[in-house]
Amino acid sequence: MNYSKDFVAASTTPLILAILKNGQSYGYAIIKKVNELSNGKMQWADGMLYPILHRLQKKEFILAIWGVSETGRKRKYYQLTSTGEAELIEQRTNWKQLDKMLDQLAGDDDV
Amino acid sequence: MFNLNQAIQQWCELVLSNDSIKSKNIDELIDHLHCEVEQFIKNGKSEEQAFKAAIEKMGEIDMLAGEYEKNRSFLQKLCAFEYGTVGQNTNQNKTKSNILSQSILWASAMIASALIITNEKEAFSVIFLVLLPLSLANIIALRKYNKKNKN
Repeated sequence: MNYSKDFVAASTTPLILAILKNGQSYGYAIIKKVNELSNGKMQWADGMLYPILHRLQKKEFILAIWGVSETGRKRKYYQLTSTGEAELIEQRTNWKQLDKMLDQLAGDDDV
Repeated sequence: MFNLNQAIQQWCELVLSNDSIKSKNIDELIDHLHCEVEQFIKNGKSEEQAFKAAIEKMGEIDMLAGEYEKNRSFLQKLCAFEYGTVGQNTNQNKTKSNILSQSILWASAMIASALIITNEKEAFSVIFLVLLPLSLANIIALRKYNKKNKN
């Protein structure tokens, strides 16, 4: 089963930031990475990612640099900024906190 | 014979005809399409099949535009509201929104001038909050419309 729309939407920002923490990347590679990591369960509509990247850029979590692909095509690469790194730490703390709360309420034996 | 570059070019034109997606963003989408097409070809599809599959994965242009639309500023949204209107007369809703924004524009112009005549302090807030942004949107929208008509 695929994840719900709300869950996908909420997890997009931390996922993008975490991927970029491992080095600069570009749209297609980011989508592919998420697909791989989730074993195909997290399916992003291709077009959806770019406006999100632009929003993160506006918030200065990431910055964009035009480069060239292996085949010589114009390609936009994204990099994590220090603000973005701080945001990633904060978001991770929040997700961990939520996980802990759920464990306390429902127990962690079922998962 | 199917021509991939030409097909991608045509798709770009279609995307750009939607006002929400700016031309500065198109190169990124082109690179993405090429990556996707290359992957499909690697998996054994023909160029034409690969292109069709890649377009499908990209999503409907309207949906794509909707996502980009979220990134626009207030004035840009106002312009789109006006522009769509002047630009596509066939669209009923857009015509309605045009009439609405025009009515607000003229009403606020009348109120503002009345307030100025009677020397009210609020005259300036009406001018700056309602009249100025709306007339600005109007001017930009009309300019865009004219530009598009030339093409």
